[in-house]
Amino acid sequence: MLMPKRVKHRKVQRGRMSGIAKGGTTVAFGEFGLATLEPAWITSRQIEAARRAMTRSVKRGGKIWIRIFPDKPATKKPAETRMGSGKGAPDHWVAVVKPGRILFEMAGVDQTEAVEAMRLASHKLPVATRFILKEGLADGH
Amino acid sequence: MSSTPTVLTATSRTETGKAVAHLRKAGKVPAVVFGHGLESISVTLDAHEFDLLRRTIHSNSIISLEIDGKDKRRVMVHGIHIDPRTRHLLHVDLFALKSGEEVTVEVPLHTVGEAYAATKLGGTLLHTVDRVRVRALPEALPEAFEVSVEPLVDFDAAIHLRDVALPPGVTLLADPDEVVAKVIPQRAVEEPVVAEVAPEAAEVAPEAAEAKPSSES
Repeated sequence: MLMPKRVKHRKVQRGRMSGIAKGGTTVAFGEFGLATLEPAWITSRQIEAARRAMTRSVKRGGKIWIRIFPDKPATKKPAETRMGSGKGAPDHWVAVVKPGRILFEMAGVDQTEAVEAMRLASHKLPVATRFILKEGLADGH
Repeated sequence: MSSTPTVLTATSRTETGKAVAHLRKAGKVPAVVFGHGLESISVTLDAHEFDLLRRTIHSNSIISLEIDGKDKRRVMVHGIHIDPRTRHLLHVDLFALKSGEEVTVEVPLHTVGEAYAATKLGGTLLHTVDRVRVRALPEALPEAFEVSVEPLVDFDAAIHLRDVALPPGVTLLADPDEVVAKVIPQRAVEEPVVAEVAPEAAEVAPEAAEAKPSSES
């Protein structure tokens, strides 16, 4: 699973997810992309599950790019613990995404295969998604 | 060379800033026409007409822009601002061309032929560069450059920008050593049964996060 090699601070504040994505909104590397339509925390496990779903769907050939990285530590208090006594222990890693952000890209497969792979991947994610094509000026290039 | 210019109609506008929001609701899209030594003009385009047009043109296509039915200019689409969430058009930048003046644009790069390493050896053809930044007179610009991928007979072979044949009068502004296309070997088929996440990885405490991030295919 994806995680940072080392971090400056073990725990960080949760922050807000208002607004839309500022960068990473166009298909940059591949031919097809999967964009999120909602803000969310996407965990490293969800990213890995989506990646595996795409890889297995395509079977052979093709290349997949992961455009997000889970660099934010999320904490969790132990079960049956009373409130208080400080922040919980780091539990997992999340990537913060906002609407419009491209999550995955794919190349080297035909569109039908890419649509199906991205559909299966989207079922592993906690957000509504949209399939995006890279096609000249139609994609803002 | 570029074919007959496509015609696009526009109307001049005085509203700027947040006042253009009502134009978008009415099916219009704000645009600006600017150029070297020319005064910028704010115009309005029909969103549907431009949406259909942008699917068939590239950033180096010459468009004949008709403003208010009289002022005709040759323009190129310099930039398109798209809402990342809805993918709707927000704004268009149109660059007015001056005759005899060179322009810097990105021209699409298409691959032709079949790569032996992809078709026979089972690799995946990666087209890493699909636009090339060049400088030329607008009339000298081709619709697209073409490069053959037939020299890609094994996984070590690569096609570079220097291999792309440029027409006379066109200057390449990108790094000639940049890889345009290559074939990567087929990745190993993933085992259907994959062990669950190791217990130490499940804890994922940053102080224990010495493990390398998993590489994707």
